[in-house]
Amino acid sequence: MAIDPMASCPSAKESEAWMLGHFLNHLFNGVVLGLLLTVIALGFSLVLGVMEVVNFAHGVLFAIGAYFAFALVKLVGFWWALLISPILVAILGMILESGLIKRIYSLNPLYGLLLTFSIAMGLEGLIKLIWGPMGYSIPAPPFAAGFIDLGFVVYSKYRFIQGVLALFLILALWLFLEKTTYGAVIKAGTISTEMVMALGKNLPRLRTLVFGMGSFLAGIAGVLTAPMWGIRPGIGTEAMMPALVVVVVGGMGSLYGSIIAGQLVGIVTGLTVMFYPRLSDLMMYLLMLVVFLARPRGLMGTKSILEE
Amino acid sequence: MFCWHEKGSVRLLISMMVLIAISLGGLCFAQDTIRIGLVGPYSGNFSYLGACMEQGARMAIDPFNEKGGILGKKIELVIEDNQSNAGITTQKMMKVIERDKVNFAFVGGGTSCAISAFEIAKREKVLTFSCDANDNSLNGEKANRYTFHIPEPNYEIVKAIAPSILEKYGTKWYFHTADYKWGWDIANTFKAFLKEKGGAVVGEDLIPVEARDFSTYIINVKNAKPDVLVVLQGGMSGVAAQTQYHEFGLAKSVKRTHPLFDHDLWLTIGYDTAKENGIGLVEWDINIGAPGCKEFYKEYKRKYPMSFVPIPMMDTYHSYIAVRETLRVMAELKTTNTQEIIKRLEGRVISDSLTHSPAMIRAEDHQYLRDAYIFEFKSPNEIKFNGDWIKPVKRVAWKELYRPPSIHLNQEPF
Amino acid sequence: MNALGSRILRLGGHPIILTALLFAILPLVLPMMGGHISLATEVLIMSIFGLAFNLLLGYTGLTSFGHAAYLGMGAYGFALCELHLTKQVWFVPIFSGILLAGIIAFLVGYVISRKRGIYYSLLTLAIGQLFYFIAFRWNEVTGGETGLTGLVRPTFRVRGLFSFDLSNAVIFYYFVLLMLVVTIAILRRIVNSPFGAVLQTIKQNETRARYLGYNTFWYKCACFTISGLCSGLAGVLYAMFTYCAFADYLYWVNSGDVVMLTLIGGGLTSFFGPLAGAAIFIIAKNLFSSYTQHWQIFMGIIFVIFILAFPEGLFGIVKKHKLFRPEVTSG
Repeated sequence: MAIDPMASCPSAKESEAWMLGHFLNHLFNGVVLGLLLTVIALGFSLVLGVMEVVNFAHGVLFAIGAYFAFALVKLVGFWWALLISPILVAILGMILESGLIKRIYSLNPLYGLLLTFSIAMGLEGLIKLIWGPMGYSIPAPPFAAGFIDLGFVVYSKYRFIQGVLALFLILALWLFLEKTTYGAVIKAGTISTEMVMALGKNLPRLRTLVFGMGSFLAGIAGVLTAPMWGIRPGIGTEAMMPALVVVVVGGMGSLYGSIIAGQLVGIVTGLTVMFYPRLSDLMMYLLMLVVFLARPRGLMGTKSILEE
Repeated sequence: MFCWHEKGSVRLLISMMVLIAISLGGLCFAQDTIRIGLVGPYSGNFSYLGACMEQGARMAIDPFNEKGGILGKKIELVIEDNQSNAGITTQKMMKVIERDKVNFAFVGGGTSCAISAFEIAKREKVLTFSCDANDNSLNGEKANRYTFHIPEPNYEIVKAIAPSILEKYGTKWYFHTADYKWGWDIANTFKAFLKEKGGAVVGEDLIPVEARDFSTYIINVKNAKPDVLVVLQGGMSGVAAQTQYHEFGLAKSVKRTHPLFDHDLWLTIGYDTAKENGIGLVEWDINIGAPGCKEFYKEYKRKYPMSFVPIPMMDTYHSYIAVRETLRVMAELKTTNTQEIIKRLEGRVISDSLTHSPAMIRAEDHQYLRDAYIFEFKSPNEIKFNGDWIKPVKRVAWKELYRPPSIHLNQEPF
Repeated sequence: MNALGSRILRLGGHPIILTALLFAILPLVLPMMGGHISLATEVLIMSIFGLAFNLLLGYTGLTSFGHAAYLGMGAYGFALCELHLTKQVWFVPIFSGILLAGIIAFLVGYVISRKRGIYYSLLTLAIGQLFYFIAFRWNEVTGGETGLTGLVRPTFRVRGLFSFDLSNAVIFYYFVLLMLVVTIAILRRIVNSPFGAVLQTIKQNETRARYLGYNTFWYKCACFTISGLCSGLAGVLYAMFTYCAFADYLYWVNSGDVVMLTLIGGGLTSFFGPLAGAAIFIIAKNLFSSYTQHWQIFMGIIFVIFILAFPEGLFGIVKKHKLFRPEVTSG
């Protein structure tokens, strides 16, 4: 039960404008949430597309990004933490890939999932060992703290900045994939790894780099959401579900799909909260089911080996 | 591929069973001790609780062990992680009962864990304490003669703090309710109270437990312009909610209160965010000003200087009381017989309860009765150490607070 | 030796009988070594769950990531029947639980059996989560967070002869063991039948199976339903074991556990794999979590090593190792 809009707006015209403002507010909310979901999902989607591994460790890398940021914020401030933490997570990711994950590429994809799941379990235990089971918080950086008041729309400055940063990240990734040769090789990798090898590219190194990029994205998403969600050992698993849903709705192996799907999930969730809030957490799954049954490969998915 | 005989598989099975039997046999406690089972969460939603329960229990146990134990036996703590999960709670309870043969147990991890443990307590006839959940059924329909409930039930919590909210803020309330039984129960109790006092529910948002984005709800409450926002959120959503209220600067336009403000929540979100919530209820804290609290804190810091948990939390206190009183009864009666202990606990008055009025364990519903404390946050210059954040503003004596029991466990047969 | 005698000997060597005998003496041996029966009972219940799950994974090549939902349905079906219908007629609650799980599994199977591969799996995950949410919120029926409690384990009476009270831990263990043997017998019959052969064909290559004329949709649907029924049995036993039914039983972590234990035991290539997996997984988890609060680190490490070193799973290694290769018997 939301509030009665009529209660605070006497005149009909005013209330119409008010409803519109309300709606725009929720829409904008959904868009920013969607951008954030896309950033969380992008790293996951990248790894899934290139290595065909369902990387369950994505969530815990997200959490580690937040924890590293917490440790760094006190030393170097928020913005440096935002930069350094994901790099550290990327390094961790690359170590995991070259040490453990690459050994199961030739096996049934299920093993990749179970391996990353076990790694996630171990790392979560490690987080608790190092930082303890209590939670922490990072305040939004002073520059971005506070809110913007535009009359009937009041918005958090930080979320705004976060949306801009997310957009920037997505754009940067797009540029990298579209405009650089290495990006082209990665894109080729999502279509056919054999061809990439046949073309003489160093596939193992490519894979390690891609995993590093995926981990970087996970880490930076963790830092970005920390001022909004708080930091606790369990936040990793919370990030996994949206990532999975976005990737599935957008389609395996399609990065643009992830972007569109992120927006779709974000906006649908945001608007559901406006009209029928009690369903908003289920909305994600319902959307997944609907898209699945209508378009089996997701919105923009391509055939992948995971279908077998 | 799949052969009929699979003799090899069977041989492997046999060798495994032998190994298993040996390894299971390996974990044995010395026979001649008093054992207490701690079935609490060290992972999952409430992963900090297990440590608190352990610390509280040890603070109760160590003084006894230093004096040579009880009845000539040392006291041991058997610790099991129930992962905040009801099914695992059952398994762990069975383990500590069947294998470790504990004399009594105490449980944490939320309402479902407490209830599943209570069920086993009844079947196996083992004294069991609930140390952290607040559901009304724990001193009501889900209780049995072998179970005791230490924390305050939801009903009494609401009854204690509602008048203060009304007095401090006004009559127009807006609720952010967690969309499941816990939230509904508490919200309904508040609403009934409000209606009785002529107040009005200006609005309510039922927020799913998994929700992490509160911007819409913040917009809703800003538009409704209530006298106060009553925040009924816990766990991760509580952290997200409070963090986002702060992010959106909600405090500038809407006053809010988080009635059941757990220690771990305010420690996680940080002082700046926490103090935006006007008043709250804490079941126990070192700063309530009762005799013994400061000494308890000093002892806690002496034993656990490096703990991730900076101050003893309310669940530390609950576990401490549960274990301490049971051990005292054992020493008084010079027996470990469960039924004798239960009879002595029923109606027991505890004068050094670290609260103002002496506390009591009510015989009829096995509920621990103690004063309720309304608090507000100190100003920064009043804070002397991490966690020293609150000061009491009102105390509600338990005699005026608790409604009559709904069950009569002391008349039930064992 | 006469024909009857040699037949008895051969029967005695039959794997199912041997396994059953082995498990039968366990409750007598275990307490002497300081173990506890409930752990063994738990292993048996999860073995049933694992076997049910493996019908889908090992034999049909379908991974269900939301299988805990059917275990939960079994538990709820049993609980609701006991609380609202009858506690006295012992088989009614048991069959209610199994039936509820089977019906739900059939409905879900009907919806998803057109898909395969990762899409199939993720659909099962989404559906599993949906069921969890419903169980958590639908207070009136499921009790939500406070669950359904006060269940009883039925007492089996054979008129005038004897009665078994399942409240006794040892007797309950044997009952669960009996259920396990029945499940093994049923599932063995299924996988070794023509139906089972088609399932394995689907696992190899579904398109080819379809070209051979099989309606793979119905085979997959039927398989999912059977798996659901057996998972329901596991759920009923779990509800009996814990005397309760909670939404927690449908939580996704339990779904993940069954996947893990099936693979580790070698379910992909061995019928009995899930039994080994259940034993290892549950006992390892219990041992580690009893020793240290940081058991997750150890479990993670152990499983990583296991998956990397023995991807075939425990019984997969068994098949390859010379020591354990079945002997060729003459005659």
